[in-house]
Amino acid sequence: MKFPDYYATLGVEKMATAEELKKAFRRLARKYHPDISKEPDAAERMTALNEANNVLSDPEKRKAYDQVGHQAWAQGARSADDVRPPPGWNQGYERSAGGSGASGASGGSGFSQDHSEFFEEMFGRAAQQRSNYRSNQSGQSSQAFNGEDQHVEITLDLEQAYHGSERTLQLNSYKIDAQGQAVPEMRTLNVKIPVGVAQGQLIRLTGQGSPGFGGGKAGDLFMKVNISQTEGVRVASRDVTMPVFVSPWEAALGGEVDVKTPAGLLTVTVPVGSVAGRKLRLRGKGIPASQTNGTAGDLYFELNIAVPSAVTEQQKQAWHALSQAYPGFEPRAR
Amino acid sequence: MSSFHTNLVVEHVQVIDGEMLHADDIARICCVTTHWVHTRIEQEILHAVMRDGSYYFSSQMLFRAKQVASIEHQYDADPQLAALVADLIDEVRSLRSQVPHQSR
Repeated sequence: MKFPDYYATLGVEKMATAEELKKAFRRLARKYHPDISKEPDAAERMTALNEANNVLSDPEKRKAYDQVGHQAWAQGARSADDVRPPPGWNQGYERSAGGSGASGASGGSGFSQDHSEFFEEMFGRAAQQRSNYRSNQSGQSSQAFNGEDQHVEITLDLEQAYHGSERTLQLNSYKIDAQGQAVPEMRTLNVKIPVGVAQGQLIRLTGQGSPGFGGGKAGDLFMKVNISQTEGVRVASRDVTMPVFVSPWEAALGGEVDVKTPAGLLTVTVPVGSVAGRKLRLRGKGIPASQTNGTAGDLYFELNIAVPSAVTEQQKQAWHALSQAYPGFEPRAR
Repeated sequence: MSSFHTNLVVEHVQVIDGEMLHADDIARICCVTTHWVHTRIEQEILHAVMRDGSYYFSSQMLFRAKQVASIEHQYDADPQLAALVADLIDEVRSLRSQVPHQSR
């Protein structure tokens, strides 16, 4: 939907009371919250619901929305004589990050919540900036406005977290031209991601957010780091847990095994009598320390026991001998 | 309507590691007042470290503050209830991340 009608989004009449709006929002939020919904488009629906609710739950915004209509509102109008950027230029604004692993909109919490605030601030500011520009031109006093912060999420794999990487971000933004008009701007940022960024960490690019006006500073660009977790691998801050498969005799008798990790090939000693699920800790072999934090994470190997098939007669006899060596062993009794 | 295309190489980035965000940063990014931030510290909903007479927050605490502020705003929720919901959402996400994709 290009310009969603906020009333339709919430499924209420235009004359709905504040209480009816609240009830409708809560009912739909329960249905479409990405953490509980099975709907494939839950995240998008939740973003739209938040957008509609943020406007309609505020009496002043609702009044302005009713005056200008939803299409003009979506184009930035906040009153009858407000600024009107061209239709469609805000599509995909919130974050479109190029390059592999850059994420799009996320769930109902986190940065994606800022959708409407973001647009509101941006367009509201554009109108103010334009007004200031005109005041300036006519010799009236002007006021400096700082630019808004922008937010993106990036996804790195473990190798990139361990060794650093480069990431290209494409941001649909705007700038104020010589006439004081807000015009679209596509910004491509090539960003060097340092070694040792942790899961959930924030990276700030000072001055790379929305532009300021009238001498105001540009906002900052904040990148939230997600580290993709492949099958069985878990990352918490800088600590990494990964599965390691050992044979039954390695688990029972112990021994050294080589494991390929993002930190390189590591040799670890499996203790005698290990069982499945046992964790072996390798201190400091998790995600390395960053420049600002001198503590590297730990790497945990979670033992899984790989049981070989008995194919040949000799192998079958070996398993049979094993079963006879453990007459009282009852795995289901554990 | 003209448009611009800008290409930039960003060499210097600031990794927010540990408690580096000032209470004013949290307030600005979450669209709340500094008083709101201080109150949530007193209520033990947000955790911060005190340095030189000011509170400083980690990036994880910023995400939590955003989440709590959003829940409070959208549901007229009591701060403690909003914090509980935020905790539960985090727990669901953590559990989901441990479930293999095939069995979701």
